[in-house]
Amino acid sequence: MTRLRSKPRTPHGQLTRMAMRWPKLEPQILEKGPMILWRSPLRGFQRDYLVQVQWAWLDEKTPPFVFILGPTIRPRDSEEYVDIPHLNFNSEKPKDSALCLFDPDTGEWDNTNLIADTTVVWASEWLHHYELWHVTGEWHGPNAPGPISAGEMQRVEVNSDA
Amino acid sequence: MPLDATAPGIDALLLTTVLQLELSDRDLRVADKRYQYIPEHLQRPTSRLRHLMDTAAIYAQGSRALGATIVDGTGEDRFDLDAILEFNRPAGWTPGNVLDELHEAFKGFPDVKKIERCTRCIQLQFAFMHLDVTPMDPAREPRPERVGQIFHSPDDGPDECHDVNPFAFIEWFKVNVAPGKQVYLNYVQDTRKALQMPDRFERGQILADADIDELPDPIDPIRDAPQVIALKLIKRYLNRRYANRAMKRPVSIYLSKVAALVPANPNGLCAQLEALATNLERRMSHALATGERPNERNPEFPSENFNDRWPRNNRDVQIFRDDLRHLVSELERSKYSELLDIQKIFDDLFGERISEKAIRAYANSIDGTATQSNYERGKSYLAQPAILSTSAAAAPKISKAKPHHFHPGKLK
Repeated sequence: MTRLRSKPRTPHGQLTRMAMRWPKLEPQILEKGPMILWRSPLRGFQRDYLVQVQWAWLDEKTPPFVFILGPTIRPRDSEEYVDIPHLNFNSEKPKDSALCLFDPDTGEWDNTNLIADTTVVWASEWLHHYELWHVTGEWHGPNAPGPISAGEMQRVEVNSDA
Repeated sequence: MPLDATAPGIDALLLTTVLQLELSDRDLRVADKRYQYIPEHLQRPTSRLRHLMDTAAIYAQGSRALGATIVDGTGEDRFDLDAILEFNRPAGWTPGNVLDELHEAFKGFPDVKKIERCTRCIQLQFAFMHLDVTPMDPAREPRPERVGQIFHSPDDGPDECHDVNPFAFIEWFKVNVAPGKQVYLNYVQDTRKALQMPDRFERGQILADADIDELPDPIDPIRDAPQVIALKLIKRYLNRRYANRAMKRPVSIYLSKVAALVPANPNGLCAQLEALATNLERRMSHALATGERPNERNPEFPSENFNDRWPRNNRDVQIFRDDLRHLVSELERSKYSELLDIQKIFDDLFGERISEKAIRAYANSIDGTATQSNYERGKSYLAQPAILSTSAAAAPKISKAKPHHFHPGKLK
């Protein structure tokens, strides 16, 4: 019988697992936070993107965030940045938005999970579907119920206010 | 294995591209029935070849026999099938007589739109399909299996006979091609089923529909082998490159032999196609550097020269070499491109209509429900992990991440 883990993962545990599963992801520990940053190329559909995974481990409620450093992600022609699916949207600086990789309402990630086995894989999966979305206009990955982009969320809110 | 030797995204698109080029199972059955109908037609009372058909045999050769049939890619979705018609040449008939008589005897063949007498075969032109029937005079007994003579009768040169054994080459090809791992073959079969290729042939033509539908599905055990897929892709690419050139293209049988000589590549379909193109490019470069033209022989019947009609001169070699270099460099570029640019590259290599369908087919093959996400350690998420298992030689380490749903949120 497999028992669900209840203890949070330690920074050492996360670093060790990351080094095993994603050896190209180089860690950097920042005193401010404190925080671990991992930076590395990560494959999307085919090409690599430079990604940054950052995790402030003392804040139990905050999940790791993933940012795409380059090439920068962009909306489809004639759409806005806010229409890019599944972002943790930064309304002040849209281009500093992070990826939104799981449904927080159903507890799909907590700090008992290994970042190497969840967040990094999901980020690569996000990039894969992001490229397909650019071609087909549809998000082919698994969606949580409801809107798929911050833009759609805003439109839903406006409509319900009206 | 080098760290980034695999290209699963490109591999998946190459596979959906090649599947778009295939005929439906029903179309294959119609095509097979057509050539199987030939002896019956040639035995009709008014046929001057009637008395020769009692001991005649007909069988597929070329791409149909190799599992490498594809639609042409230029204009209508035409495809070509090749068949050998074996019958004893009557005493006194020249090669030209054989071809002329056969041309005459084919008149009235059901559904045929045009019948052309070519240098070595009779071409029956139907809607969507050409059937090239090459007459062959079987060797006298004791006869090595399926050895015979085909005839060459040009308008502007002397008649010739050539000793050949196409059947033995097909058997050699099948033995020398590695089929691929079962998990990969199952994936290809599932993808093919999901695509549901449309039937190109209208119903109710030459044969009753019941006759076609009652036939078993055609079995092509090697059509999904990575070496055969690479062959089909390079043929498609060359169809497009040569479409507007007034020159002869490299012959399929030569490409087929080299495709079987290039070993199964453990890194997937893109690597297999690159290996085939690079091998051919080296051969062309060698030919240009040394002046020694390609001279590839039937491995089971060495007197049969596959290069007897191509290349004819250095220009043929040089143009083919340049096409191969273009293919290799574009495949390489695609590995470092995003999908929108990959689509443009595939438009150029394989055709706009096909590449669009291929991407759509790939996107539709992705199950959008939350299941465990497969990933290749240290590399990436894999929507279709089986695509990396073409060869038994290498098995990438594939792991699974827990199921999840993408979700939009607000950072600030």
